[in-house]
Amino acid sequence: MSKKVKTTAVDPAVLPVVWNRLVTMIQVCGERVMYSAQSPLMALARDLGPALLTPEGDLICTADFLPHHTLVAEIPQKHILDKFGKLDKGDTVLANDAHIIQSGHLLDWTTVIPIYYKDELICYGHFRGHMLDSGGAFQGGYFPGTYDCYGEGLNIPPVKMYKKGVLNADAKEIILNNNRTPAPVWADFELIRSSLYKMQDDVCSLIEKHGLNEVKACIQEMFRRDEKATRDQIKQIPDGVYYGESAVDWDGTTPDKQVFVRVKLTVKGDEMTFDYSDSDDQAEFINAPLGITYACTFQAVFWVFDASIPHNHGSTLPVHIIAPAGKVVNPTRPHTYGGCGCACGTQITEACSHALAQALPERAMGDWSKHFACNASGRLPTIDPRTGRSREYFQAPFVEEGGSGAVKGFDGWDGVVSGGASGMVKRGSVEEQELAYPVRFDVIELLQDSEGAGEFIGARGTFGERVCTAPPNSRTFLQTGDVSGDTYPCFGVAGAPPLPLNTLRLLRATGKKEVIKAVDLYELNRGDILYTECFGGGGWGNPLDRDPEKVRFGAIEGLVSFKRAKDVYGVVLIQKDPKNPETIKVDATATAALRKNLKAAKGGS
Amino acid sequence: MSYRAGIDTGGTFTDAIAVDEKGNMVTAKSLTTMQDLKTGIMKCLDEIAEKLNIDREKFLGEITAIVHGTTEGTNTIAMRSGPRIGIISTKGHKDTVQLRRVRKDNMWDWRQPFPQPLVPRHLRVDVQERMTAQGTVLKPLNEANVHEAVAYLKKMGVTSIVVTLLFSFLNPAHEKRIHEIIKKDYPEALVTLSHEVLSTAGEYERFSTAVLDAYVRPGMAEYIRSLKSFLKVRGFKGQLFLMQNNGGSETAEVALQKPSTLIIAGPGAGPAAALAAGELHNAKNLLSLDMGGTSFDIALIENGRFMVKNESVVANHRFSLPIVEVDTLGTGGGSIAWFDLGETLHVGPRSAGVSPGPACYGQGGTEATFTDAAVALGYIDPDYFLGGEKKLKKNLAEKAIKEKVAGTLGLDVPKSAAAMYKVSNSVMASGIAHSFTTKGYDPANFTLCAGGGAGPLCALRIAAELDMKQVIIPKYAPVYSSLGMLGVDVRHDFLRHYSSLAANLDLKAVRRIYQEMEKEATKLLEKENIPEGQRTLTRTLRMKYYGQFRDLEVAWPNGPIISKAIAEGIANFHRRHKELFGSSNEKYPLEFMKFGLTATGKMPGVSIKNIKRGTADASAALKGKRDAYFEESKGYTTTRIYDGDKLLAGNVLEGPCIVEEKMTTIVIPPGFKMRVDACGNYVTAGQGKGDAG
Repeated sequence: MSKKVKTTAVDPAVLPVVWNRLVTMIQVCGERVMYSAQSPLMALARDLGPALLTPEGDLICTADFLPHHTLVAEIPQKHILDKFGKLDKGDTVLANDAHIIQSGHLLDWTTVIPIYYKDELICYGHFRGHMLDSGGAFQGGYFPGTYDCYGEGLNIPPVKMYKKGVLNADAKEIILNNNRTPAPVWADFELIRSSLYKMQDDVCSLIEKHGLNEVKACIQEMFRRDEKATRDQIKQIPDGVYYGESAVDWDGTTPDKQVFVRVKLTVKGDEMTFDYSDSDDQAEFINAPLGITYACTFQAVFWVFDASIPHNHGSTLPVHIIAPAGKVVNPTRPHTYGGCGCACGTQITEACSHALAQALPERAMGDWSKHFACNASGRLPTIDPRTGRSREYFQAPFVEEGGSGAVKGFDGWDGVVSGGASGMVKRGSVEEQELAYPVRFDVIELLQDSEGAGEFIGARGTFGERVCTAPPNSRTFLQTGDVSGDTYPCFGVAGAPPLPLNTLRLLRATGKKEVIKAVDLYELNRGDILYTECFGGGGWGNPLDRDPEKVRFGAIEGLVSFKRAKDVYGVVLIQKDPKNPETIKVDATATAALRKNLKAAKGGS
Repeated sequence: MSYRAGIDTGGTFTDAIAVDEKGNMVTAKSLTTMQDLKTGIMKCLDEIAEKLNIDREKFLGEITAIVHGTTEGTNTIAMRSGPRIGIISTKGHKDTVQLRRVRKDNMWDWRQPFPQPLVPRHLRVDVQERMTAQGTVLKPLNEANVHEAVAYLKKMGVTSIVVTLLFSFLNPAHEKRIHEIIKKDYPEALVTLSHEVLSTAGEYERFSTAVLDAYVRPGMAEYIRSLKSFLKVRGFKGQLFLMQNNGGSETAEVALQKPSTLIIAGPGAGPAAALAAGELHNAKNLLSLDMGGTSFDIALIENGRFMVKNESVVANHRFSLPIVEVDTLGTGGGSIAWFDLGETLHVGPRSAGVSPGPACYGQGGTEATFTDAAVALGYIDPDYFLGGEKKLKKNLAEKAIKEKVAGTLGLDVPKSAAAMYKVSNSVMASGIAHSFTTKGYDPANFTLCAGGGAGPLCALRIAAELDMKQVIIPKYAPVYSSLGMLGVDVRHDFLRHYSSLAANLDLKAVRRIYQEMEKEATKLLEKENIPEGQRTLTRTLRMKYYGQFRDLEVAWPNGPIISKAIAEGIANFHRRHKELFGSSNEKYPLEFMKFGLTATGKMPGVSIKNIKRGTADASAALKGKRDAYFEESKGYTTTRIYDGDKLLAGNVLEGPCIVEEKMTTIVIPPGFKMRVDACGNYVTAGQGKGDAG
């Protein structure tokens, strides 16, 4: 049974006023950090998420940042409050140990402040952000294969870094002494803290304006409305049991073994339950702490539901999640979980999307292309003016990426990167990457025949050629722990086919060729070249129903080969002038005949 | 008699204003004619000539300067009516403009078409060449590739070629060489080099801006040329200035050289109008608000300077040249009320536009809009909309509100209209709060200046929501932008990429950069006949804490380029960082990124003639009474209506009351008080020099 939210009477004209202001202040809280951060993940990839929660820990509102951070907030918040009880004025809590707070990987620091109006606790400001470093075997955290969670980094339990406004200097010293880049990491932590406290000013001025009781009543009323809207959406799904699955290529530890996320979706009336009991047992590195499992489940749901529903505690109430401890969707100590936000976070969303596609094909969305821009880290023989030591760097390029899956009526969007970001991450800039890191991108191009076919096609994938330019006597590590799709593909929905597998290849400066794997770690040397072939997003519907003119346009642009046009879309193209792609035309008669045959063959098989 | 004229071509209306040397003003408004913008311009000029009772040719002959803002560029992009363009790029990087780097606006809504690039993929050709991140040649330019590429693009019928090479902002040699080859192989083609349009890092931003430049160039050049000759033939002998994206103006001659400076010139004049109105009341921190039929533009002015941003999006394409920082919200008179699935009321951004328009227009619109709410609440007199030119139907407004809003809210029509008005105001207030907070300012220290046809309907409510103490509503609010244009100075921005740790800054290099930029700036201002005494050069620099990914722009002093001057820039940086983000650290290592220069040519400005002075008693201007709804009175209350044209300087208007100007209506709710200033503007609690009280 879900917890029912009490109905409150509020002025229907005041409610949107309060709501708009709350959303604005939380958005700005995140933007301040994004603008000024030194962590490339927060600054360039919006890899952060602010949230406001009630004193009881219910999510009031989030903003347009990564769902992994915003939609997860209730779970770590609960664990933090379990430990400390109500926080005092001026406190700032920091934590990252997901075996306690069940949040993301160790690089994602959770910062919480209490927000007081006069002497009353009104709500909590909650912020998760991907820091530049958090200790462990390598910078950046996307390396598999450590023995246990202690090898992945410093495990910080919930600790009051500020007690009633006074810095906990001992804790600071221990944490920073275990950090490769203490100065920028502390600068970012202080930035987050000051941004949260600036938000406290905004909350107080809202209360001054509209009254404490009115603001509280508005929050409760928004919960009630969002719960109702979500229930109304669920009611449109036929009652029944639906299944979905996806798999991570491997866990970086046990060779040749895909790790499956399986979900059973039960829809009954206005409630739905996602049950992960049939998923594989926990593995290493790619395990998703419970908070990530929640966030990735809701992400699939929110893509399918009406986009105008605001997301808060109310919209989570009719959705139940069963994720038994010890499964890949809810790991236990001392198992590792460094890759969780990417894998199996991506696979959780995919499994749910596949189940929802059975339940509501008209609203379904094809898989997004997988995250495929490998991270790199290393040490350069130059002095970092911030630390006075050799420069340690972590590079998350977001360059070799595809885009979104298709929905009914619309093709996927090229270039918006992988689904975990839901369009909130901007692709990396080749020039910015090359100015900051020892790397050169010789090719970043759309890949021909890489779209998920369908009546509506998924985004195109990319082909990349990345050269290591690190100077001699430096160390460079390629961390493929965030990428996936080299043994388990993306899928289309509503009759659209799956996509081919992604590939990673290395051409060593020595001339040696290697096929390398996702979820792994490799040393790179100057002149080594990484070739990436990343396929795009999944399509929607039968490719034989795609408008032939759109297939033709793809061929003119060089993105669809004649062979694929014929074999996959049943479209016969002819080209009069081989040097002028605009002379490509559809042979309408041949196309109609071919499509008829292909459809008959499909129907008969 | 001699005149100066401002003409603003907007999405819906073309506005014009002319001022003579004594400060007398005449205004005109006509529907924008999309097919040929000149028609709307001429209609306005004719209307003014008629009001002045002189013939058109004589009037045009007496105009010394016209400042004009046009939407020509924006229209070209939105309607995709630019030339057929080809791209020549670095090998392996021809898809940069398709892969884009733009955050999605609504992360949950993917039921929208992908914004296709302006140059389709088969017209993007790559050639062998590569510069490194240090600006050295990694791979020399393969000229055979270039000849082939040009031949192909020529065969494909492109008329304009954009050259987009990586790191061309550090070393433009290959872009320049490609230009030479195009000139030889295909001399008719227009050529745009990415480093000439924007000389900074970030390939997508630079390439996309260069493509937009090429896309608007021919149409814009043609527009400027034809407008010039059109005006000349009709007797205009003065100087034609065009409003730029950066909020300054430039002469038509200079604009022809770089048409991309005019792409988003539309909202640029709002801040100038606010500055002019603020000057009368010693208000230097201003919020300019311009609310028209479909949009709501807000801009902040701090200490007399408006802000400029280097990242914007035009019809979903990235544009990275400096533009006046104007935030646009989709709220206007035509904004439609709707409910989300949680049955929470929203107003906008969907708009009923001009056609069918609000329900009360009686043109078939059935949706309840902001204007319908204002009519139902008694704020707008249905018989005196646009000075009585358009009759509105109150019953249709009420019907739409009843059918579309009242049922779901469970309220009667007046209360529903009041809710729409309140929600709409809150959307605007939230948008403004976002602008203030992201820029680190407190609205309480700013004066709100409200223009546009719909701005004065809600200015006082918005100000109250944001705790803003002073509000100015210019007498000429309905022609806000064209009024602003008259006060706009000529302005040119220059920027050079030069990154260096603060500790290692080479002052000689900085001096060299400024010698170059100052020379270029002076040359331009000379070309525009700006007398030496009217020229100002101001310096900016962009820097960051070492390791940050974004820099901040701050001012630094003119004069000798020495450590002391740089130190002043650094001090400005720490202060600004603290304002914006709540923290600063003077011990942290710093990095310089860019050095900039702004060249301005002072224009004469406008001095508006004083109106007749009266006492606090405004009763002579009282034109009647009608019922209007105010939430304070929880219902309709008999409200005084004043005729704006009969008010005298010093008159005090105590709410609840309404002032009707010809093209707008000022709502003064209970508890608010406004005074008419010396020039006929409406001011709350003003104590400035222009205050007649």
